[in-house]
Amino acid sequence: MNKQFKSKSQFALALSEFKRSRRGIVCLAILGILYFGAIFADFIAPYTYDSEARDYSYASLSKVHFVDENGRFSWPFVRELSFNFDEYHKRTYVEKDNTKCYFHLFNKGDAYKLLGLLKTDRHLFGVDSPGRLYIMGADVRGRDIFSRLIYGARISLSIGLIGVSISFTLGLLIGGVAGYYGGKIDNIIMRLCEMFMMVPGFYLMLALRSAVPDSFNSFQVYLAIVVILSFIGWASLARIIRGMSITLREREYVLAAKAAGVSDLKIIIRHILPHTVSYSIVAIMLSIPGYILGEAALSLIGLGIQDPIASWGNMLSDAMAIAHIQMHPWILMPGFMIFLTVICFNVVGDTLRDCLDPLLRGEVDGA
Amino acid sequence: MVPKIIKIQNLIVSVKQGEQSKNIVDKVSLSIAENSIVGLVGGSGSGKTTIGLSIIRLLAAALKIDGGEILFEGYNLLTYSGSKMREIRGKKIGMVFQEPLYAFNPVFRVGEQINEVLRFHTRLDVNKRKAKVLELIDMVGLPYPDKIYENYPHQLSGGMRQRAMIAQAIATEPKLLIADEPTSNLDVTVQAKIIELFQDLNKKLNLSILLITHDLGVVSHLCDSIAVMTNGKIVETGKTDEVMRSPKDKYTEALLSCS
Ligand SMILES: Nc1ncnc2c1ncn2[C@@H]1O[C@H](COP(=O)(O)OP(=O)(O)OP(=O)(O)O)[C@@H](O)[C@H]1O
Ligand SMILES: [Mg+2]
Repeated sequence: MNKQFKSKSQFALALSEFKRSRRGIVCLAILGILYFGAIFADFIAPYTYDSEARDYSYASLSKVHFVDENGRFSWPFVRELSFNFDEYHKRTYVEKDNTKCYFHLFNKGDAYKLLGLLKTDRHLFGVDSPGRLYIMGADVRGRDIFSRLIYGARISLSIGLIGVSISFTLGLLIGGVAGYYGGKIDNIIMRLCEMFMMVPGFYLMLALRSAVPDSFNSFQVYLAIVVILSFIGWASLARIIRGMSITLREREYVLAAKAAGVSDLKIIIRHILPHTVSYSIVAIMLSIPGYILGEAALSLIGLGIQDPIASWGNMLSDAMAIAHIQMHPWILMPGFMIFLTVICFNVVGDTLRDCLDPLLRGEVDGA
Repeated sequence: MVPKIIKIQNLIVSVKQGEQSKNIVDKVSLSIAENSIVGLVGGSGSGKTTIGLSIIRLLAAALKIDGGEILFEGYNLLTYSGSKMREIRGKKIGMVFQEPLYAFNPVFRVGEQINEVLRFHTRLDVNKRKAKVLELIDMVGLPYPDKIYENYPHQLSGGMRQRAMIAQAIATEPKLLIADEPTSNLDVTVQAKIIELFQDLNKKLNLSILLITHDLGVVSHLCDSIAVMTNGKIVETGKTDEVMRSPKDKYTEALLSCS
């Protein structure tokens, strides 16, 4: 009974260890919120990613009024804006008097299908048109940066997950096969891995990207980028899994499985790869940022996701000129989001590693 | 003459040591009659396990079969391809390893692992497989099959694991069971139970057994015939009681006088 208690609590132990780390929990919560936002982007964003308002180009954060012109408290509202040019031909916005666009929860806005199923035009919040609510300012075409950030999260955050799942499937299988069979197969696969690892990732990425036809639509480009990024990531993982698989294949239960006539692939999947799980979870967490940054880098230099579709990388390309940053600092927001996400993944990965460490040690003892 | 289930002829297994190679099994011939239990005895390092592993062709990479043939139901296993061999393993020849303590994967339940073998080799559906596994666990004399099914390997004692391993090896009702030291490391009462189990299986399932051991006590209880091995060679074979009563070889004599 004692033993049973102990065995059941091994992963539970790691979990409770994780719960004790405040940094880990906070970062996990932030990631949770980000992914939640990405999933319900249509609902949470007050505008769609391509809802333009040229009259509001680079409008700053909206001023929300709680007091009306008579000095009385009022339901919050914003005013419409008009603009003049200053001596540098920069727009300066002034509020139009006597315009009140009230703030509403569950505001009526552009129509969309929630989760691709439910047709509706309600958004979590917004103001009456023709007013525009910019809680993080507007970009050059007057599109709401906050809305675009949320839509962009869909691309930037999903690329990490999909990319990691592809490259980990590849890395686990290829590394497992190499280590399990050894000999010539191992040699060939490892030389191949080294070839991939030798080429600097960014240049490999550019080279692969140039092979993608121009005629691709944005969804195809998205897929192409995911595939390109996963192609770069699998090799280093495969090497490590191969090392683990070389020791794991000597285990008695592998011989027993062979004696029971189980096929090699089955043995690799059932008896070898599960023992690399502690390592893999940590490695996955720590490698997701690489994909997010990879997409951002490609999109930043205009080779990734194309306007008007939003991704954090292509939104940031607006911020490449220092003058723009000086005049409208809010266009740096996507950069901050990337920073936040990358930090969170790293902290969660680190915390997980600390928690799983006793398990890893247990592996070495040959439990 | 009684038909043989397996016939090993002039088997040579060598190990490479640097430039030269050494024969660790040297022209061994051994056959097992259908439905009989044969004991393979010999000192440590004499090559018993190597013979067992040669039969199912799972020798370590350093070891190589250099000659001879292994006829199973009339066909030479040494000429079989990998996939054909896989069908023989588990389905027609089961093996219980010398150290069954680690023979189960620690991350899966014992029942699942026995179940896996059935899934691989039979067409039974989920429910029938589970029923069969429970029946097997019961058959090898483990208490509370339902509970054992759900247990992880480390939750069973050494003897229990050994019996679970036997259950796995006989799951597909093989013709031949190779049992490598199934009773060493076990206390006498468990030993007696396993001997009984083997006798049972031999009668009920018509299972032939190659029992590898250095324990002559077990052999005298269980085996119809016996082969004595030392230094990679078989020095004496015969009916168990005859060999026990009047050994012809010096080594056998020494072995007998020690026990
Ligand atoms: N992988 C290997 N590499 C090199 N030599 C090996 C290897 N496996 C076994 N041998 C050698 O082969 C010989 C026979 O080994 P084997 O395991 O068959 O002995 P055994 O009769 O089963 O002994 P025991 O009763 O101790 O289990 C030993 O001398 C051993 O050193
Ligand atoms: Mg042995």
